[in-house]
This record gives sequence, structure tokens and C-alpha cells, in this order.
Amino acid sequence: MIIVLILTGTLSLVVLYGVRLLFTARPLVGGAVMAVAGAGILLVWDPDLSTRIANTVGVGRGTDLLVYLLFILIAMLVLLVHARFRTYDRMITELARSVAITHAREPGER
Amino acid sequence: MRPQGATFDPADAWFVIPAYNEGPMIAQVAGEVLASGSRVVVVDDHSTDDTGDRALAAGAIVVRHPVNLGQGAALQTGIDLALRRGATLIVTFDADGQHRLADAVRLAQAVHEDRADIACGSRFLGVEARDIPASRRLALRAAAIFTRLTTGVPVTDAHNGLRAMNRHAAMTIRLTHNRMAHASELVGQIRERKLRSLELPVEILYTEYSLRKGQRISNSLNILADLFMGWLR
Repeated sequence: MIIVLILTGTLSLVVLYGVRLLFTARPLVGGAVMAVAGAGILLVWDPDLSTRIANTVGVGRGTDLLVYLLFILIAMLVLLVHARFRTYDRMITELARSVAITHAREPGER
Repeated sequence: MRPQGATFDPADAWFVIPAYNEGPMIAQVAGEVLASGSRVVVVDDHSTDDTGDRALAAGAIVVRHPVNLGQGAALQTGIDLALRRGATLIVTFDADGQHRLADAVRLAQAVHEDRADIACGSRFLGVEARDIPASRRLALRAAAIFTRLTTGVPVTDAHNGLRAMNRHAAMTIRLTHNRMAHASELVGQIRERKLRSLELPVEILYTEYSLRKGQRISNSLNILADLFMGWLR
């Protein structure tokens, strides 16, 4: 029973964070965060629900379904982070290039 | 197009030489080009040796990346600088002494005669590459076939750093792959941006020094990974 309380508390904080996002520049992200965390709370209080959902998509147990979804999530995050790094790479390149050209050294000067 | 004289004036050509830790060779390579009358930009890719100082002493304009970025980035930096200084003909040239000035002049002449926007050197056309290690020949051939399949441009030697291009080509091409995948990227852009290109035979001088500095076959996997991640975006 303690784990239910811990998870509920944590997920509630996430919902609150989503509410805060809702009223800032990223309302869509806030809505998504609230929805996911809210669904999490629902699953904590009704564990059989995940199994019923799993069965409808052809997975035996609810826990298995969660593991699969987690895998998809991580793979997507890895790709997103990589794309973000490439963007930073380009920014650094442009910055370094501009610095280098500004400080070009001409023969004869020291 | 500007009026074309019979033979091109070396003073019209800007040589872009990307260099990373090429201290032992850079003065000789840059010096030979400078002696022919052409302009030289050495892009020092944050070397840890005295490459930049030696190139400057030899008479080259030197730009130094504040961080190490890779050969593709160094080429683009040098091209940008040459364009800013009004270059009408740009030659890319390796710093390790494996290219011959005479070959560069022939490529530049082809561009000067407006036979192409960009002329690329190939070590697999006619002139037999001497002393090329069998493993490297195989890897370069595979790279050329791969580039041909992915870009549709019939190149025979995708990873040859010796090229000559006119101002139009230099302004059209934009290398974003900082490391070695820029070679395939360049060929792709020739196709996409409808540049007129041709390949001419050149000789690569394989010395102990250039072999030590050159690409390792193991790096081709990194190049593939770079290209793949580029397509994902």
C-alpha cells in the first residue's frame, strides 16, 4: 500500500508541473504531461486496467505492455537528443568559423 | 561568365588547404603553391603543433578554428574566407603533400575554360596510382560505388581532396558534415544543385607521411554513421 502512496504522490507532482506548463509558453506539452501522469495515477489505483488494455492490443500482461512502451519512448528520446546535438554541432561550427575568419592572420604580420 | 583567357592566371586561384597537425609538411606544401603565384589559405583545425605558425611564415593566410571541428568544416571555413576576399576560382588541396601542383593546375584550367563548375581529381582514371596499398584501394573503390549509388553521380573517386571550382560552385556548395562524410555530401550537392562537374585523372603521391596521416579503413564505419544520422534529420 505504501508504494501506491509514493507513486501517487510523485505522479501528482508531475501533474502539477503539467498544469504549470499549461499556463506558460507550452500548453500542448503541459496537456500531454498531465494526460500521461494522470493515466499513471489511474493505473496505480487500478492495476488490472493495464492488463485489460494490454489484452486488447494483443499483449498478455499489463507490465509487459508498459515495458514495450518504455522501450519505444527511450528510442525516441535517443533520436531526439541526437538531433538536438547535431543542431548544437552546427551552431558551434558556425560560431567557430566566424571567430576563425575574424581573426585571420595575414603573412607579414606578427 | 567572365571572359576566358587561353590559360588561367595562377594569381586568380585561391588554394584552400585544411590542416590538422601538419607541421612537418605544411610549409613545403603551401610554399610550393605560393611560389606558383596563387593565393593560399591554410585552415588550421586547432592543431596542437606549430602548423599555423609555419604556414604563416611560408606566406599563407592562416585561419585557426578555436576548437577542432574536422576536415569538412575546415574546407568550408577556407572556402568562406576565399569567397569573402573575392576569389573567382578555388582549389582544395591536401596539406600532407599527396597532391601534385601540376594536377591542381589542370583542374583549375578546366574550370577556367568553363568546362565545368567543379572539377574533381580521381586517382582511378588512367593514371595508375602508384604505391597505393591494396586495402586502401579496395576501401576507396567501395566508397566510390557507395557514393555513386546514393547520389547518382558517376564518380570514380569520391574521397579525393583535390578539386577546383568556380565562384558559383563555391557559393552553391555548403558542407555541413564536419568530419569525413563531407566528401559524399559534396557529391550529393553537385547533383541536387545542378552543378556541372567533371573528373580528371590525378596522381596521388603515397608517401610514408601521407599514409600515416590518411584515413584509416576503420573510419569508413564512422562516415556511414555520420551520413545515416544526417538523413534522419
